[in-house]
Amino acid sequence: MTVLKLEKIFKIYGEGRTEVRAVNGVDLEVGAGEVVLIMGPSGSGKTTLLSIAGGILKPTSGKVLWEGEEITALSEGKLPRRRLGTIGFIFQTFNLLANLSALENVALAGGLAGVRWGEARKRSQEILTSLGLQERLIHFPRDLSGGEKQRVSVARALINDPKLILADEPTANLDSKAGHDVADLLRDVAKKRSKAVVVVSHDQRIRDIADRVLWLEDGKFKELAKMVSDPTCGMQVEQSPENPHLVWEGKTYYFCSAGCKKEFAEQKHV
Amino acid sequence: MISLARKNLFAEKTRLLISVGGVAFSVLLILVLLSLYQGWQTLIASYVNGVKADVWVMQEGTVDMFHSVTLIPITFRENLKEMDGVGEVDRLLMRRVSIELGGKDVDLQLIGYDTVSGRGGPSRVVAGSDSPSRGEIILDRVFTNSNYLKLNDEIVVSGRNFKIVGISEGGNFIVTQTGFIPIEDAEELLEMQIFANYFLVSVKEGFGAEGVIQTIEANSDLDARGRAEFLEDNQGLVTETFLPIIEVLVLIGFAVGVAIVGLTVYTATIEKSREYGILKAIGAGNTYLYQTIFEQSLISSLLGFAVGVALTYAVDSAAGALVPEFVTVIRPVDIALVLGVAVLMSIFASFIPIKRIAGLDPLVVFKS
Repeated sequence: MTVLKLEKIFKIYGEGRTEVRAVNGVDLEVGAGEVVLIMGPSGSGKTTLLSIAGGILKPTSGKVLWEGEEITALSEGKLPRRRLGTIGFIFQTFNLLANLSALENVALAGGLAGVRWGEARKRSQEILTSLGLQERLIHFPRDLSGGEKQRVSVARALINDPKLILADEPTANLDSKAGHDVADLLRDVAKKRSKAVVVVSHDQRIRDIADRVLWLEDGKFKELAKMVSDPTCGMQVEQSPENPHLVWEGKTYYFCSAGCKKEFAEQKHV
Repeated sequence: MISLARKNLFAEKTRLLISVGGVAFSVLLILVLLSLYQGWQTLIASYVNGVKADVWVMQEGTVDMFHSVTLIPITFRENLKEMDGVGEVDRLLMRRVSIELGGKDVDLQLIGYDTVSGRGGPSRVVAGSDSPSRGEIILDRVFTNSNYLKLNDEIVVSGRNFKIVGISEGGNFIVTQTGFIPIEDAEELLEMQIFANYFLVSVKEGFGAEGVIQTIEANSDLDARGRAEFLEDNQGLVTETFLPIIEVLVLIGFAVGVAIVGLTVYTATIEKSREYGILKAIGAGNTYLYQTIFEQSLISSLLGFAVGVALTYAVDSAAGALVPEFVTVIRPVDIALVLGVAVLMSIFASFIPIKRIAGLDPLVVFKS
């Protein structure tokens, strides 16, 4: 079942010579139980695309559909309510409210969706307990570790039982173990709770749990199979004759720039 | 649901203290002024209110006891007595005199009244005699307290000695206080043997004050006024003199309150703008965000109001004990009015922060 569908999404800033196409005709479908990882260089439009998918940013053109309903047609007044019930957000910087406890941070999202406060607290306690935070319910964000904060953030994303989870660099501020834990948690969320999970990340740990990995560059998806690493700087570049490249010992190498190619050639005496 | 406003407010205790203190100061200023104004109104009215006369008769064109001097030949007394509906007629002599006490000149509102009927005398005597004999005086409590006088002390009025035999209340006219002496002493002292300043008229049973007033005015060149009308005329002194000043000061108090609550709520909103962005991003509607800001402002204002009212009682009580002229009356209606002002402050104070949040882009959540 398709939970998120993006059809020919464009997001264009400025016009004429100053025009920037942050998202340039993207199509995407994500089904329940699927983890989709979107990777790409900085400024490639990943976060813009995630904001559009989450209904926070309006595309210049194209359609966003949540469970078949076109949300780009919804009014600004109706969109927040719809977002509460359909989408759970997980952010890089956790974005918890500083003066609320872990339990209150989660329950507030339920309360905003119209759940009675007592019920919201009960549900929050259950989710936080299932995420191993039963001892940290009344702790404030300042008293939690990065991994714990992100688990609270995941609990907040789940409180209203949304069909779609959107995560922006969820492991970027976490140490190795906490990063692995969160990656596993996202996989469990998708598989055990049957959620569609879209993650924007550079993290290899997320790549390991993703069902699909997409490469976004210049506002467009490119096939990851055609992406290779620049041997000089390590950046992912398209395996295209249009990019700087050379052949050394029978193998073709692709570079992000002429500078990297020159440096490589000097090192290898090509 | 949990009150985010309350959580944020009580988490920042210093800011809350500043905000509550600002409103409390503002409420204190407004309420002290209103209570002082009300106190003065009551004081000014107190003497006329206490005099057992249905009709006050005075020279034509008299404004009130403070702005006009009224002189009526004593012969009018007999004319008045003959008019329909007129019962007892008492003569009242009244003049503001300056006396020397402790090396400084002090003003005293000297009132000569008929000690036999007692009409025109002190409203309430709190110590000593309630009827002075020749050479005796009853002074207002505020006057004796301010000038460190007590019963049996003597004061000199226009060269004559008077023994203090009573202390009264209800004769404090703010800038001066009353001293009651027998009419015979007042006649000699003020050289008013053939004049009265006012005649105090009681209305016979079966007649109304309005009818008697019309009769007096139709049959003489004098002004006659009922007690309520004359009371209002005298309160005009406070209304006309002090009300415009009090209105300006109340406005300043209001502006101070709005500015302090507004600034503290605004800075709190700026500091928490990322959190408001998070709420917007996860799906909170603008109404919830506006409510949160207004609630913060309202809680600050209501706490400030409560502290301000308590402070007003404390200040009024302390000031009244230290300065006898500082007479205040705190009416429930004034407290209700100031509560309305405090709510109004919170509405005004929320306006700019709400505008700020309305324009907030939820995309801030993606910035690290």
